[in-house]
Amino acid sequence: MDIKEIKKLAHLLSEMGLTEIEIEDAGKRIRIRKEHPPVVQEIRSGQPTYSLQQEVPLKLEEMRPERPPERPKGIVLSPFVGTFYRSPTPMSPPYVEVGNIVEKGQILGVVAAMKLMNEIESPVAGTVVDIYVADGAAVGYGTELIRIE
Amino acid sequence: MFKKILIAGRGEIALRIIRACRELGVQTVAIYSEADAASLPVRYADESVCVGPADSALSYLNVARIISAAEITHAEAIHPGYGFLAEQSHFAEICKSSEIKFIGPSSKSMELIGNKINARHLMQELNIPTVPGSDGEVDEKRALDVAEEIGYPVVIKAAAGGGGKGMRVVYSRDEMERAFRQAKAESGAAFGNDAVYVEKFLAYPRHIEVQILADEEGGVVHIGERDCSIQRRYQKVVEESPAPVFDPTLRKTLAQAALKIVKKSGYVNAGTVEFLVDQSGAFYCIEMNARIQVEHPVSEMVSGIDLIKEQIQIAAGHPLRFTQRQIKLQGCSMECRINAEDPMTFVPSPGMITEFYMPGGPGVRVDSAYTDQSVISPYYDSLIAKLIVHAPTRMEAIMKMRGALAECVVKGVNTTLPLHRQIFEDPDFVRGEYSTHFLERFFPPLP
Repeated sequence: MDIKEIKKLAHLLSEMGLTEIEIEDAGKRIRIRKEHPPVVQEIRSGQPTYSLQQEVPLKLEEMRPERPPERPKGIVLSPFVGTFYRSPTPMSPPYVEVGNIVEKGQILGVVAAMKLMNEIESPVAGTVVDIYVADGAAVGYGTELIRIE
Repeated sequence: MFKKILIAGRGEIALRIIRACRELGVQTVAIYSEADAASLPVRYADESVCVGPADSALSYLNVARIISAAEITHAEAIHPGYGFLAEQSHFAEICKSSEIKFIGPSSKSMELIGNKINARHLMQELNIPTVPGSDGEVDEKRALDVAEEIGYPVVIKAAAGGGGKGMRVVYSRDEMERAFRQAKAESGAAFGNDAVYVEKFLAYPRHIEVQILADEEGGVVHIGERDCSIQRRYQKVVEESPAPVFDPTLRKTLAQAALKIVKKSGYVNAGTVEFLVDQSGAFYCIEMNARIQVEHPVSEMVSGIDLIKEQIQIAAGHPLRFTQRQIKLQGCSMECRINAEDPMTFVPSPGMITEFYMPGGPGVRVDSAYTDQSVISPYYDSLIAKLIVHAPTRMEAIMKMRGALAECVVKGVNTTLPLHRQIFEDPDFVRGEYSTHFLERFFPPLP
């Protein structure tokens, strides 16, 4: 198995949304694993376990080109489905404005879901360079909210 | 009528609901997980909301996120499709308290009939025969006593479940201990409830189910029956309507029994009452499904009724638009479930579909949410397409299905197409002589 094969496997990993692939061939074993697996897949008894079988002729170069663009570092994504608010109450000033310097853990806004206000904290320290979502706009899971550099 | 409906499902049924909404002039909201961002329901719905990552516990099963998605899009109703939250009474309850109409039965009637043990008591109250058995949850000792009483073989089943999970057939006393523990463990893992019960295992039963529709004003009709006996480990593979080789008196009796259950339980919307019918014509009611079923198209084809549109109309408070007498069932309809699975082992075969062609022509229908370049994700069920035919007679339907199956092309993943082609050439199947054990002969005996 050469580096090209491993590259292919790594691609397959992200294309299929998997977190780990392990292959054993002629005494060599290769395991590719994504750090911070986004998903904890519960394996239930009685359920068939899935394996990528060699008879599935996946042509990797033919795979869908419309992959979501790589998100630049520092983009804060919405972890919830709900309504994004830039300030704690309609009358109060926004938590942050473009150009503000924020600390790690500082509140950037809230996503209100089912009457619960979920505070969005800054994952890093830096400067707010862009706010992508208007006050009161609907956001889904993974919607880009704010960019911090 | 609703202005906007959110569809809390994925795959072909989500697309099916979008189509029905479009015909009714209703706007649609698709929800999706990150794995389904490029799916057809997302493309064809008026709006879409990503509700979470691929793991369904965090997306399609996440009640809070789905309700939030309905709130931010101002959807007035939620259609749950099948699977996921479709038969979760707590979801129907939360929809109600959030002032969102759940397109399906009330949480109360779902609780009554969704639990197999409750349902059994209801049937007995109505003098509808049920399969002899334990009449409630059992421990291992009681299971042995009941088995002695009704005679082996018996089957252990999950009280909360379906789809074959938590089920074990027991042929003799010494197999009980192992099977009982397996069934209990499997039920607990699959349904969060490990209550099991025991009943008689029938040797050559047919699985016949009656489709019903009930409105909020007490109007109830049936749309004939479906024979779903072609199963593999309790998963349906081929369905047809009407049931072949079926006594017309029995047909009427089953339909009447189904209507009685629906009326007694105050059930509203579309539902299915399932029966086992043995070779002598004795029938036993097994359960009621409080949802639209995967195989609903065969009933639509013979009746000309769009069941999804009727579900929406009923939820919007409209009375049924037809009486029993106005429903005319014509011809024969058959459905093949084409899955991304190995046709011999049924091991799921996720991957990318590299070539996809589905047949057409008069009387041929395909319900699918895939195209070429679609990725069959390992996270969800393996259904690729439902291939449905409708013809004046059963033999004509078989000929049509043979042709349609021959035209189908799905490359890149393993599919059950070869198995379907084999079934439609089988002399017993062609004669309509089969039971739920029909498929066993195609495979080596189960371990």
